[in-house]
Amino acid sequence: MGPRTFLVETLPPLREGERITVVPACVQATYDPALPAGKMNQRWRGLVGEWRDFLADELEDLQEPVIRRAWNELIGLGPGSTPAGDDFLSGRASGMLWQGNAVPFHPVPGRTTWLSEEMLRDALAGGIWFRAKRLLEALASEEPEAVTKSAGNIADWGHTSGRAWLAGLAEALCRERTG
Amino acid sequence: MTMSMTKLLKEGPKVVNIGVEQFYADLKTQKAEAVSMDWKPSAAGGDLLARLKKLRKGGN
Amino acid sequence: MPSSNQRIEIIRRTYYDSVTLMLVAKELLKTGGVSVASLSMGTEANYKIMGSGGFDLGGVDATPNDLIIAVKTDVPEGEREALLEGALEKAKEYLANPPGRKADSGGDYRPKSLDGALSVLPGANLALISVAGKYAGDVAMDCIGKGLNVMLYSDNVPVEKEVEIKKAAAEKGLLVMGPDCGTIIVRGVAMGMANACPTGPVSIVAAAGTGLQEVHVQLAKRGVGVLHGIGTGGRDVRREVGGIMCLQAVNALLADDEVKVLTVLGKPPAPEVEQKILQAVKAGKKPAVLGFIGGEAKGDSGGVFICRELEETAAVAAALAKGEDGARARENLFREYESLRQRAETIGRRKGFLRGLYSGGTLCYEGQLIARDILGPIRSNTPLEKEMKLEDSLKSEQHSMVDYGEDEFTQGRLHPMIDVSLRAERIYEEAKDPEVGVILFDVVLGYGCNDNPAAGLAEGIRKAQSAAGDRIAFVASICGVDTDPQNASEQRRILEELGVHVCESNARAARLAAMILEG
Repeated sequence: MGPRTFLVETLPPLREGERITVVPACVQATYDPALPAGKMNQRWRGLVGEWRDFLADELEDLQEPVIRRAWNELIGLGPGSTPAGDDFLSGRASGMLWQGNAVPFHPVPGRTTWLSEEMLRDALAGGIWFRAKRLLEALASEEPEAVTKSAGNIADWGHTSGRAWLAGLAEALCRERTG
Repeated sequence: MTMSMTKLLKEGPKVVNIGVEQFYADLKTQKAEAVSMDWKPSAAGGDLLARLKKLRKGGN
Repeated sequence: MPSSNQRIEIIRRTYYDSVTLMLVAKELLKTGGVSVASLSMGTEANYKIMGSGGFDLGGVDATPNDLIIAVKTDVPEGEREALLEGALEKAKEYLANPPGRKADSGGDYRPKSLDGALSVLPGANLALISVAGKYAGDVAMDCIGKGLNVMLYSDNVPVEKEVEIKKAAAEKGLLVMGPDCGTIIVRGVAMGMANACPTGPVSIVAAAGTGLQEVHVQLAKRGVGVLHGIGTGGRDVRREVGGIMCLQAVNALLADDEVKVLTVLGKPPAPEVEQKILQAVKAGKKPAVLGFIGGEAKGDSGGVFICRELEETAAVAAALAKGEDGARARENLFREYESLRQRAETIGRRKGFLRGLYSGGTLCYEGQLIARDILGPIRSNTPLEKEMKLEDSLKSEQHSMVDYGEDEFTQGRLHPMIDVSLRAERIYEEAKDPEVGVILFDVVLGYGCNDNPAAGLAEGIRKAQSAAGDRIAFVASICGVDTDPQNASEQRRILEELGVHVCESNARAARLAAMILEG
């Protein structure tokens, strides 16, 4: 995730089909290819459940597709270089994989920005950005300060990205086990 | 019968602050255990939000 | 047509907490050319206050759920439009990013649900609720459902709701302090607006917020600490509520071996409630002082003393805590009060009316009781007798004492212990009245209160002194101690530098103020 955001920010606009080669040096990676071990400590269930309510105000548009579980409709939904719908799907993917469940979802390509598609692909492959990993580690622990700090960190991220991501995570972690 | 109240008097306050944030800050200054809620009156919301909440009630 | 010197904008259906609104207003006033800035929710009270603050609200149709931003300028006509426009823009920017918020949790996530909060603090035993009254009752019921004791700082909770909450709590052995309970101390930890005093052998049950603060502070000044100060809210001891919580607290403290002396405070309760309190206290076998402010103050028996003033209650309780004679302590105190006459002479008698401007309700009440004995009837928005009620709380008549903590000043606004600007402005207004001889006010310190009330009030006092010269004597009491965040001695210094006559208690200040005008 990290290297590619950097590219989005520094490259000039490119024409479709144009080929370029980029040799990144000294660029910090901000994502980790491995989810943390452990499972959510049920103590935090009440707190995590709150994050589903982030789908309000500017994120209102995500509610309908989420209720209908129409995941492909969320792709590219919302403004920004990583639309909120994609953030939601990433959070959900990370949450499901972390709990040891497969994510039976194959995103239809071409519906969102290049950056967001890459981010979603990483998440579905089990990658996770550092601050999100810190949250999952905190959720597996007994430490309230670690949880509130890392959750606050993510909730403040971007304009809506962090909250949308948390809403997706909550959707995955708090879902009842029905068929 | 008065056990819960007595617990408070014997243990000292461990507070959930709901409202004015300054009260939470004052508790932390005094090194008391506290958590502060980000409380807002529930918005009128409209149909969609109500449906979502109904669905949630079933799932939690 | 001359361009207006004011601009008013309404932001519909919005929710900003009062602290944010106060901070933004403060910030706007720093802008050159802005002479008055007011951000308030569109409540009836605020309409009145803004109106008397010089805003023309004709045609403004805001509801209590709408925010009114009002700015006034004193720049020449040609510059007004631009300045007012700029000020409104700034106001909206500040609302999005409130300047200097002290109480920032620093980016930590704050739970939005009670379950969420309890997952962070599973051992929680008390909910401190200060949201708007119309929501507070239901929030309290939720908290009781989760087994939490409740401190209900909020007011404007309907009495039926109060009874419902207290019955539910009593069934579970839980304490509900309030509604309208501003001050609590548990094991020395101050909650709401309360002072930083040492702990000790005395505990207090109070149906009176500033009453609790004053007694707490007066005990500390006598070297006696307080372990618990349980507020019950003013309505608890009335007939409709029946003293449910007062009695619960009294019994719990009487049974507590850490409590050596019990004090019960408030305006005289309903007769049946008073009986129950007396019974409980007499059966309790602990020295006790009942401070029924404005009551009869007779019927001391055994180890139970009955007082009618706050400092008196503290003086007697302190004596009992030290194993001394309570009656003698009371006598000594009243002898000290007599010597205030000398101080009045030294200050120099004044002619005219007394105007008391209070932030503490119980202090205002006590002030009236004391001043009435010396000066005769006192008018007030919270009068001792119905006939003495001020027609307009914003306009004093003859001898008047105004409680700024009352609804007409606090609906949709910050409490006067947090926002001193209204009182500061009123001090100046009173000084412009040529018939005023003494202005009396309280300065309440402690957690939850303005971080420098003396400085805020000083602005009004200076303007008042320019207007009135030596005609008016200013008398004040400081309800606070040096260990309070504001430091009582520091506050005292600020006021004394302006020539304000500062007294050690509200009882002394009210007496001194009245004595200056006596005869």
